[in-house]
Amino acid sequence: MTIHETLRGQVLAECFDGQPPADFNDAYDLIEHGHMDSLRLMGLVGFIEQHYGLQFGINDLVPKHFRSIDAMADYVRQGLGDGAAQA
Amino acid sequence: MINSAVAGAGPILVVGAGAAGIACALACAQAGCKTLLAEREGQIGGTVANALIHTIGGLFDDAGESLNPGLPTVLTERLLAADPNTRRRRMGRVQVLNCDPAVYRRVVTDWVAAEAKLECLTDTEVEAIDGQAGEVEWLRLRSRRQQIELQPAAVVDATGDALVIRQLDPALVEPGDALAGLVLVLQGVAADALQFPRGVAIARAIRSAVADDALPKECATLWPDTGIAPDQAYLKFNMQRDAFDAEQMRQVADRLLAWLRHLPGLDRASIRQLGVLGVRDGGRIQSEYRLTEADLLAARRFPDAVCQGCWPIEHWHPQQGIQMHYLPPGTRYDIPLGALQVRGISNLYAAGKCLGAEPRAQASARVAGTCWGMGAGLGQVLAGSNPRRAGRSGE
Repeated sequence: MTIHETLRGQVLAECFDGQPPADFNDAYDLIEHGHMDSLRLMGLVGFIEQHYGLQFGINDLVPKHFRSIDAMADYVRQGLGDGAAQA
Repeated sequence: MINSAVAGAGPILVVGAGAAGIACALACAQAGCKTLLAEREGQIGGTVANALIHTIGGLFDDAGESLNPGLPTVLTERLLAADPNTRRRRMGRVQVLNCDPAVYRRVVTDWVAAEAKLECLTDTEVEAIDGQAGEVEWLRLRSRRQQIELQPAAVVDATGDALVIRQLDPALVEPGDALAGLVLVLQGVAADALQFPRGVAIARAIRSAVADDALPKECATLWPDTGIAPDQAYLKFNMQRDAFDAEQMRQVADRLLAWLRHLPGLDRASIRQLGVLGVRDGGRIQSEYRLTEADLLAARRFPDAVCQGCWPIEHWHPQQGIQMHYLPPGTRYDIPLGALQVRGISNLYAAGKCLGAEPRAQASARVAGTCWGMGAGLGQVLAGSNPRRAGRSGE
């Protein structure tokens, strides 16, 4: 499963209870549309750390890394090292 | 049969001057009913003012529209007018009113004092209550200065703990089923120190510190939030009610502050205030109708609706911690009169957190804005002026 697929599944479960809006896609702005709150972000960060073995420092939690599935995937890819496409 | 309006010459007695109690008393008085509002503390304001709730939920729906017309909407207007720091705020999918609890207390105190038909008695408790044939017949209030005996037309228990109903019959109240919250307010915080999502980073750092024994275990479920003034932070502990020790928590707050001052933007922070313990579920009544989670999820309509709710199911489970479940987008559910009427007693009601409901239904309906709706709607029913009420719950 690709990073995008893995994150998409988790975001759908955490933020939409499996029922996303019709215009949902990987660039969908979760913060702008109000689907990312503190509790959900806490859950997503915990999942990414556990699933990918990454550690988020206190300065890594900034909106640009969690705005969309694309943004999260970019961040995970950077954390795993350039070129990583599988997890 | 549920009364459409109270009968007899006695006053309507509302016990507990928190969100639901104030709203209920104001609604009764504004409709011309002689109303007594009894509060055991020296000041009114309830959980919002005493437990330092700075985000009032349940005033707006998903779209930001006022959820309940009348008194809850007027409350929003008055709070916005009273302080330039009061503002609407989006938190994920919901909207809240950010308000300084001290401003809230001042606004509701002035409001109650200005209502001619409403007499407010502080430092006053229900000492005794008696009834038969399915009706409260007699009640005695006591304060340090006086003792009052009443034959009330109706009694509304808005104490948050169902204290009056327990006095009549403890079996009429189910045990509470949620963690309580304790708010610590800091000042001297850098303006962006807790802006989303930095608060999440701080919450995670605190959890790590607890795991490393650098902070006490009471900090394990702590949630930080931005404050009302730009230099404030509100930090909420969550705990079992019977485990609460005020002196111990003051020491925990001191240790937490010392630790937080090593974080960016918190190096000049100091303690501004520690609230009283905020009870989320002080017990739910045995009611004519028990509101269910299924009612919420289905946006169920009731012919005897007193108000509507839409807050997520925010259940602070005693063992598993917070469980947040958002209702389907756009959901507004009814809260029926039957959920506020004590089973088998025609003139005894609960308003606010003690409504008759499943724990997870109460976990949505309990928020302050919805309690204002409940109190106002019930007050209109008692005064015979609720245009929405036409039948009974569950029919």
